[in-house]
Amino acid sequence: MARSGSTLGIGERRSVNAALGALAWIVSLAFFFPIFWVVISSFKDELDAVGDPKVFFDPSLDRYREITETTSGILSFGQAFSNSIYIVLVSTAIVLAMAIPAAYALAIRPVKKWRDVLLFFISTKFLPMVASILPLYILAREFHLLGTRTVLVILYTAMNLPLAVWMLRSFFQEVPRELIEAAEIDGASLGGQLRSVILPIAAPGIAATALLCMIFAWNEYFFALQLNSAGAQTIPIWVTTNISEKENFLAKLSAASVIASLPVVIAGWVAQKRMIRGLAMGAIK
Amino acid sequence: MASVRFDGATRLYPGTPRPAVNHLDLEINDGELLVLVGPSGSGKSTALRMLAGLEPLDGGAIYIGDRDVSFIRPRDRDIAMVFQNYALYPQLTVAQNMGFALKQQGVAKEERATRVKEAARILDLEPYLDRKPKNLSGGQRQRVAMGRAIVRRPQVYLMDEPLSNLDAKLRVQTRTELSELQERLAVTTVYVTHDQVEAMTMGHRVAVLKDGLLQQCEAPGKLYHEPANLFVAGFIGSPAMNLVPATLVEGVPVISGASVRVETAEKFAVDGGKIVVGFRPEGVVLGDGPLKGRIRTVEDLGSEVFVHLLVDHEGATVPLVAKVAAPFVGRAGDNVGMQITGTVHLFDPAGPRLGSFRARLES
Repeated sequence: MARSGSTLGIGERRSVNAALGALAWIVSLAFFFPIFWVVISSFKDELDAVGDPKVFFDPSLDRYREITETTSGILSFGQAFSNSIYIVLVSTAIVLAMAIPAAYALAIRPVKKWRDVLLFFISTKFLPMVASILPLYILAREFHLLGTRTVLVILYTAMNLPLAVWMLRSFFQEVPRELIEAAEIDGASLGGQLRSVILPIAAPGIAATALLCMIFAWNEYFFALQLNSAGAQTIPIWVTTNISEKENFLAKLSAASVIASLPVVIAGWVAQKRMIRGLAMGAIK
Repeated sequence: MASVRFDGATRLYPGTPRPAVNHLDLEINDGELLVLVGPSGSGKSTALRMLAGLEPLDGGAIYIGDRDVSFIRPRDRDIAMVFQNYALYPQLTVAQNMGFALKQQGVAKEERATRVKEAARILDLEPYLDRKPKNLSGGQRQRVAMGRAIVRRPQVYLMDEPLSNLDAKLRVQTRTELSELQERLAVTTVYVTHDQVEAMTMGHRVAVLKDGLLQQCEAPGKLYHEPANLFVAGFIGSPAMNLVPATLVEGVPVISGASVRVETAEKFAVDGGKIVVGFRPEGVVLGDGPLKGRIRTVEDLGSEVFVHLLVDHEGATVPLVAKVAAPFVGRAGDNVGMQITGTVHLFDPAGPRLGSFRARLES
């Protein structure tokens, strides 16, 4: 295409390009700096962490050692970590097991008033968490679930299910109709169509959905604090309860935060490619 | 193998005023290749999907052989379908795609492999058995879709515009191959297309649909020479038949001052004294003739020439087409005379054909 005489697009002008690039760096650094600071602080000793920021310090893993040490009377890191992993994995597995058939029904063979069904699903998220805590607390107490992992598995399943149904439904809708019909003619049962056609094609979308559910469940703090203050505490609770506020605690808190974030960061990093493809699945075409 | 019968089959999509397929009565013989043809929205694809079991029936019945399949699930109908966009499973290899249906049926692995190999040999797909569909060309994908149907050895093949995604040259080549293959396998086949050339060249018989109604179902030659009504006359043939509404003067249709003298003793009395005169482009001779017109455009195809003409007729300008042998010397804007040789079809303006006769134009 002839370039002369046509106005250049925004990305084509060098100075604009450079300015946009610089802006992107500034914004990224502004977002990244607090995280960077937390990571740095976790390697300092307590005095350095609260004092004037030093450029050079003796990095040590002592804070990590301190917080992961098992002290009697205080929730241990290993305990909290295994609680979190259990709750996250089990609740996400249940969410997927329930959301996949629901999303399949809504996407491929919609019932009458399917829009109302979808709205109902998402309306369960309108209620502020705080508003539901009292009845939930009473129910949990009546069923002897207070302080158990089960109560959080149930709650996180309920919390993530609407979102998962919504997401999966839109991914399933992207599966070409003819493929499902071809499988139907080829003799695949409902389950067979789901297993051999829909799930493999929607796999990136399912991965994205699962990852989001895991992140939300891993990070959840409010219910975990209210319903589970003893016994089966999760990592976010451990981060806050583990730290004694009587002395300087910033470095230890930083180390705990880093550990608490790591699984999510790693999961996100591993699933990044799939997740982006999944999230973009509806957008490209 | 089996015959297929539509018995008053009707499909009304919810929320639409008129059935997509309306009381379709159609019998397809064992081993026959029947083409369903029609413009978009004519109901041809819906009819095929009803036979496949992908659309429910709102009335009537469909039989495969002697079995009423109207309420039987697609997978229990013993049919195979080739889709317009092929609908290959993207995550499976060519071999797995072709063997998918057999696997669902529980056919043993060795037998599956043998049958897939055999189909691959017929379709020249042997070198590609381990590839994924995305690494195949359009023509190869089309053949895999065919292969998937062949390995099943079903009672009926259903094909929904299987060639429309191929480029023109490949389409013509595949058309021939497909006809040969169908001949060899002798499996009853229902083939949907909007391309009347495809319909005429491939079909043992061709069923023309319009607005969900069957217009005519005949062998291609008969469809061309004896169209049942105005729609079929205008739809079959390229370029289309010239159809001119004319006024009857003493029982004889007159086009722009030229009388159409038909070789029959019959007198046509039609309500309002109007009749539609139809004649094929190849029946128009340019040069001297009682019908005067001027040339609009000339399309030279090398082997033949389409001459588009305009004729002043009953206060309007009527377009006509003549198909003449090359070379042709006339140019756009020239005035020419026309004569008709061969057959003229006369239609009631309401649709039905009244008769076909040899005819000449007289001034």
